[in-house]
Amino acid sequence: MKELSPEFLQELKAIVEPTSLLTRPEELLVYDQDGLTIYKGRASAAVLPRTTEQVAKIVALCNKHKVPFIARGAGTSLSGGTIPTEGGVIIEFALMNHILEVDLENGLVLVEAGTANLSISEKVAASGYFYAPDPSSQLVCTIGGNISHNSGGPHTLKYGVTTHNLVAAEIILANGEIFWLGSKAPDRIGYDLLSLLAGSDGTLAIVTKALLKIIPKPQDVRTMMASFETPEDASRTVSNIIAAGVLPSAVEMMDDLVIGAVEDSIHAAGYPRDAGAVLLVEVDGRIEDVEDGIGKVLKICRANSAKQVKVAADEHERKKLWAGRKGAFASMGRLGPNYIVQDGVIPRTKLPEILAKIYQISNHYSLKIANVFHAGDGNLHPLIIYDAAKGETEKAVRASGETLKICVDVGGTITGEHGIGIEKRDLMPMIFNGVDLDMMMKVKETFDPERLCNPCKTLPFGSRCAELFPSPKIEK
Amino acid sequence: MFSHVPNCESVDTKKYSIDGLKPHSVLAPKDYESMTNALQIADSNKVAVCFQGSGTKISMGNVLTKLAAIILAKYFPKCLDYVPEDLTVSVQAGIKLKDLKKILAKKNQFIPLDPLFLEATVGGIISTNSTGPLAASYGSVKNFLLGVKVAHADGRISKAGGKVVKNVAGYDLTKLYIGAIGTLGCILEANLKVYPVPESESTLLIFVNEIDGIQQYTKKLLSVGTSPVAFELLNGEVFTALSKYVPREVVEYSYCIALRFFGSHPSVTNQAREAEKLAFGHKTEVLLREGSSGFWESFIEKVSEKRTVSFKVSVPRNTIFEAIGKVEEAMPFYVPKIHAELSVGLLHFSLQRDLQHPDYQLLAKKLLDLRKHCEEVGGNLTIETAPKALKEHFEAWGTVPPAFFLMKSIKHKFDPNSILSSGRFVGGL
Repeated sequence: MKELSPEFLQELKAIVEPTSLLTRPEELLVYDQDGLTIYKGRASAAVLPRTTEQVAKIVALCNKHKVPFIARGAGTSLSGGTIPTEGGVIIEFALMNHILEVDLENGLVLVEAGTANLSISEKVAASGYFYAPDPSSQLVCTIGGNISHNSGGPHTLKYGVTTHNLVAAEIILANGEIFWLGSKAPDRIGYDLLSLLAGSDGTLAIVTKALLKIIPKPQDVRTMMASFETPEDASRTVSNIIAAGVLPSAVEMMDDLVIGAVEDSIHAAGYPRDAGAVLLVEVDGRIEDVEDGIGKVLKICRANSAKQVKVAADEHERKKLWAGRKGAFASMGRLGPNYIVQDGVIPRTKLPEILAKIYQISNHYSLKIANVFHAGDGNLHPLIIYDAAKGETEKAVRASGETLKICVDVGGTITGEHGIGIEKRDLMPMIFNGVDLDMMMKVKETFDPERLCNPCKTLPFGSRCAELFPSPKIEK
Repeated sequence: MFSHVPNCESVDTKKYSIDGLKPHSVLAPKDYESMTNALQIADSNKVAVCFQGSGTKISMGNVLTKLAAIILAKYFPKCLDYVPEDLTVSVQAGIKLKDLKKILAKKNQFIPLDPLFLEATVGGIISTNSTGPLAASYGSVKNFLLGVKVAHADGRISKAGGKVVKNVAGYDLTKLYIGAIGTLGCILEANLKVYPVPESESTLLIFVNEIDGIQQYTKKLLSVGTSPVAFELLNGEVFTALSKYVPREVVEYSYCIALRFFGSHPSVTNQAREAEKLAFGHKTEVLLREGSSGFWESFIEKVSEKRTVSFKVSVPRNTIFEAIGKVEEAMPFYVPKIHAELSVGLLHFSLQRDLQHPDYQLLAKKLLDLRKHCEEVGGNLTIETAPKALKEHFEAWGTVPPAFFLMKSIKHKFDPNSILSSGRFVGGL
């Protein structure tokens, strides 16, 4: 941990309430890690501001003293987006969690960055609206974090990821300046800087407020489960659904390891334990289109030798089917003490081929790899199960990197919705060459020339940043 | 200066000019290497270039501050990779939208981009962020563009994004090139998301005289579970030209509201009927299948005709009717064709009266008042196409946004000698 000067701390104390400044090691421990538990850092201090102006003052102060700062929401980042590898000040958004305006006429909500994702849909549900991006952690994960990683979720297949639902944002630049990007009007003037912020891992600026699209709830929603003998059958079914011109709102897949873990846990959803893979397919929209879509999906499942198909009869059954999927990550403790979750994306037609290769990697390293993912988008989430106490960490990181390499080899990418963070920072050269990265660097330099805003994330900067252990370098 | 670029056709400059500026050279590179060679020459000599696809929106933005060469995309018209089962396609930027549509149609797929010019190239559509009525449901270019390959001012080529439908690897530079009208680089290739053609479609036309009635109707419509993929207002100047699809007796009405539905046949029929019921008391017309698609094709064709002085207004959608009123109030002399994406908050108008030089000053004054109104409600009014004579009195983009200094810095880092579409963009970038 890097020491902060007494003057700096004195000035920091003057900005927020006394109870909102944390400096004792036992208070800072919680900020060492986020959803990525393989790496650790230690913040020098954490502050919990209540207003935009306070955030701006904190950032300006950090800038003056050249102290790094990191915005943090609920700490669910799966790529280490908030790990304070360089020390510095954590700006924690727990107190800035208010929904400030619901504007149904324009289909928009204005929220503070610390607002939990799900609370938006809850707030507007009675008016017949919802906020579409729905990451599994949506009960707690914040909009600021969602923007930072451009988060998705099962329903992004139809409704897009965070960037497609972000209309404007109040931001604070590294020098403490506050301004808005975008407005309630659809077209912005000039370069689309707002879209640059989405998925920037919080390394360009701090978002304090966001204006988000809300969407009228569809007239009808139906969810079905289909089980298959093998993951190959299930993935071929996915390709056939897409190819048949059906556009479901979600297509999720789970393999036998996941099914077992979920069914053993409190998230048990009634998935058949003897299945090699299960698909969850949801179709929403007009009643007639939903009927038509579900009919086509059922036919395709049967044509691909589905063992069992079940359409949820009511809302209770529908929620139960989803509870298993949403609780899948939380059930992984049943398979082993530690796991790494990957996030590669592939063209959907490559699903059978890539899944087979993932199981080969699993065999090669003698590590269990469970698969639960957004099959409709081709966004894989292999969960590499390992035991750190048995010294399996490095092996797991290697296996994890290999699952990405096979994605890249078929024209895919290394992260679909979890972000680069620190986890994949050094893997960026797998998909981008020097010129591509140089262009990104120009953007970073524009926003944050001193590299104080969440430093050492996203771009492989080299020697100025702390070395990570274990090194996730993978041969290109 | 450019005569020694290998593999680069030197085109007769006679037919080319941008805002009255004649280029010294018009170049058509035959491969990416010759493109980057030409850019390097321009950059090292600090002379300006401008990229041109089909030229449908070449007069967008401010008058160029300098122009040495126009670089054409005519040798980049290829569809590079199309996997229908993945619902993605990779194309060269010079492909025309109409040609891409034909390729996709063979596999019963489409791209829900319906800007006013079918002749437009994909590169041009991205660079000008052009949209059409379908933006109501499918959104803008941002929603379909997965990745790009771009040639930069220094002659280097970079890529951003990728080919897959979800991607959060690094900064999303793809979005930076959308609507940047070629000021950050020349788009060489684009990877796009495509969609299955819906089984059926329908369109409901409602003819009304008063804007108030439409406002109330809009609220009712959104509460009954219909989900139009397009929700367009057409003024009389536009819809009366669509005589094949609108009944003869509607000429007496002021506006036509056109609602388009996609889905299964029962779905689109029922949605049109339900929406029609809500419009009880108004003159209506339901178009099914080819009638529906034909209407929209014809709309695009008619509205793009003689479009030499045209503007785009972007406002919060709950203020769109007010904006329509303001345009009508200010512009009657110019006989504007007006159409608007009501559920988005976009309004387009083009002027039909032939204008002489002195008229532009007066027009500019009226436009400035309109712009002031749009900016007050948080929106903007920009030039889509206009002659130089108007641009001399009326800046193309309006008040620069608060983040302009960041934009300026990005432009400077990407194009330090300001050789790409110099001066054309916001704030003279």
